[in-house]
Amino acid sequence: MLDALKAIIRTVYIFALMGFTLWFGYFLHPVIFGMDGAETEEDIATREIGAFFGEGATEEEKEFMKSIKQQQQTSTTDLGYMVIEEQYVKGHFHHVGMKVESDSSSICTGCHGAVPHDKAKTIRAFLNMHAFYMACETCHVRPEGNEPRYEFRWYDKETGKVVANPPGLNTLDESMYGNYAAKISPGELRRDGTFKFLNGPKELAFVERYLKEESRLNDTQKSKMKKVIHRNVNEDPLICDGCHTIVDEPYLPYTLLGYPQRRLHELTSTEVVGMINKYKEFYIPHLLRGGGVDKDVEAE
Amino acid sequence: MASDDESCLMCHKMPGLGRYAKDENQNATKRILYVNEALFKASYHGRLPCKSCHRGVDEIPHTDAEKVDCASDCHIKDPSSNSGFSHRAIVHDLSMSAHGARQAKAGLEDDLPDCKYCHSNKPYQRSDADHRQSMKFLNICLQCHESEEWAERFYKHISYRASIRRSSKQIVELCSQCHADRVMMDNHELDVVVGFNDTFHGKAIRYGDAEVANCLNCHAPYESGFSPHSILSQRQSRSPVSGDNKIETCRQSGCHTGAKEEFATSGKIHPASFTTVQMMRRNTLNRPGDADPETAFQEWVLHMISLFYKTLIIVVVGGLALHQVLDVLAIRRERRARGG
Repeated sequence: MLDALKAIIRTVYIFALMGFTLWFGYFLHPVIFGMDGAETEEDIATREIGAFFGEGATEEEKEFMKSIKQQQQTSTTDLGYMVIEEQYVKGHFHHVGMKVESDSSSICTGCHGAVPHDKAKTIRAFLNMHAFYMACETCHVRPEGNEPRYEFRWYDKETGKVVANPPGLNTLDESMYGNYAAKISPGELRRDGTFKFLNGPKELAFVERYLKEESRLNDTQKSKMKKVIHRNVNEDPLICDGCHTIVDEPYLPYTLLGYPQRRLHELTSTEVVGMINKYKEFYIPHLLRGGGVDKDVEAE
Repeated sequence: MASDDESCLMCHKMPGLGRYAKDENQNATKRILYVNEALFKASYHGRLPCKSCHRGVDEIPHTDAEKVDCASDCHIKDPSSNSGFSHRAIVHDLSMSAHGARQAKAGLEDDLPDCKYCHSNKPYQRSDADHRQSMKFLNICLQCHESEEWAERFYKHISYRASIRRSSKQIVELCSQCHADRVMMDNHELDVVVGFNDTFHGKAIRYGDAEVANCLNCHAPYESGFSPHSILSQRQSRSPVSGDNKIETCRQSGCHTGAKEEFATSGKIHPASFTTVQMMRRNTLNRPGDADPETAFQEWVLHMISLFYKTLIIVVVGGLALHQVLDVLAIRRERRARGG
């Protein structure tokens, strides 16, 4: 009995000592050898560039990879009482304080990006603001002639599924405005009571397939496929006073979408509508009247 | 919000407000125009109206907005002089330093860091313990000062400035973003700093030692009248890491106070390892410094010492492991021989 106990203690001691030696070696290695031979971030970047573009990547290609890396980079700021994790944007001064969910269900963002408006200088930031919580189709696809009006629902940016009441929509906290991890998108209500978005998983799969095959297609084929993808897009998008109006019924059914009464009043308030009217009158008369483009756009 | 008298947040509170803009070199840069109100209010600049920094935003759209200039006068008074507060002196220091755009080669000005490269509008750090402490302290302040908001902010400002705001590890990471970038350093004809992590300073920082010297302690020692904004090139005689000044930098209080002359001149402070130097020579332009035979010999000696120690450790640790395994086998064989 005593011999067996001794043997167990001896074995445990030997293996513990071996384990400790290995751990100590692992721990001590960087103290003695520092980063000698370790792959630096730049080495990793060089390796990735090599893997993507092959040997002898040009400066532009290196810059491209750098931008991709930067897009994926997050910045973490430990404030002691809270940790802010946000996407790293070079040269941005004010803290955003949140991570922005990417819209994986949109059929448009794959080509046009999440910040798609860049031409009309006077209103592009406002339009991009709306693209944060409204699908492109909401303004750029509208029923033609006598077609019935679309229904609208929120969809989850990640899953693409209908969300009845996105978190934050009913909050009194103004810092949550627009930040619902969901977007409003048009569609139709079926007879069985289910809702179908104009562009769903089927259309998304089609666009993804097109992007995958694009390099093998000739110009005519590309043009044909793009026409199919953009077949519902109206030349004249919905304009601001379609929704921000005091006089008419807003194009979007705010109440049905779950906006509280207070928000409904804000969205159609004199403050917002007045600002839009000022824009309409002084800055972007053509664009906001529809049927044309802003002078900025023409100039570009 | 006191600083939003102009109702800027009516639009700028919306998270998607932003755009891509082309800079002077036609590169598209992302501009986020959203401002997180809570974080802004808690930040250093939280008491300032937006227009203090963002001049020329009198109309919507802000077509006449000027670029933010940290050297301009703010709309607050410097309590020490009662004159308009400004970061002008710091901006001037930076422009005269090694990091000032005027020091850059033509066409490479954008590589040089501006204020925003190192500074973001951080909220004051405030742990719960700090908050409790500040509340105790505030009661003393409020015996004389009427405004609790002012007193709390003043206390936070002083306590924050007196604390270490960036760890040594973060400082090394920040400086390395440029100084470990081979291409950028080649463009500016500077040595790429790849050996710092191999030094004792680098290793101690890696293991979380807050007392050990980081880049700024040697290149911008406050004790010698420098600041992170007034770093000079090593080639300038006034630089704390230039020639004869090095030893005084090593001797600064709290560091190697008793260091002898040889301490600062006996070798490179952050040498690159032999492997790294070989790799650099393969991948980058051959600069005159790379061909220096004395440096090459030193690198070779360091490499051989490193190789010797690696071999020794493998032999000793491997030998120990082998010995233990053989010992276990011997015990088992002995036990079998005894019939147990």
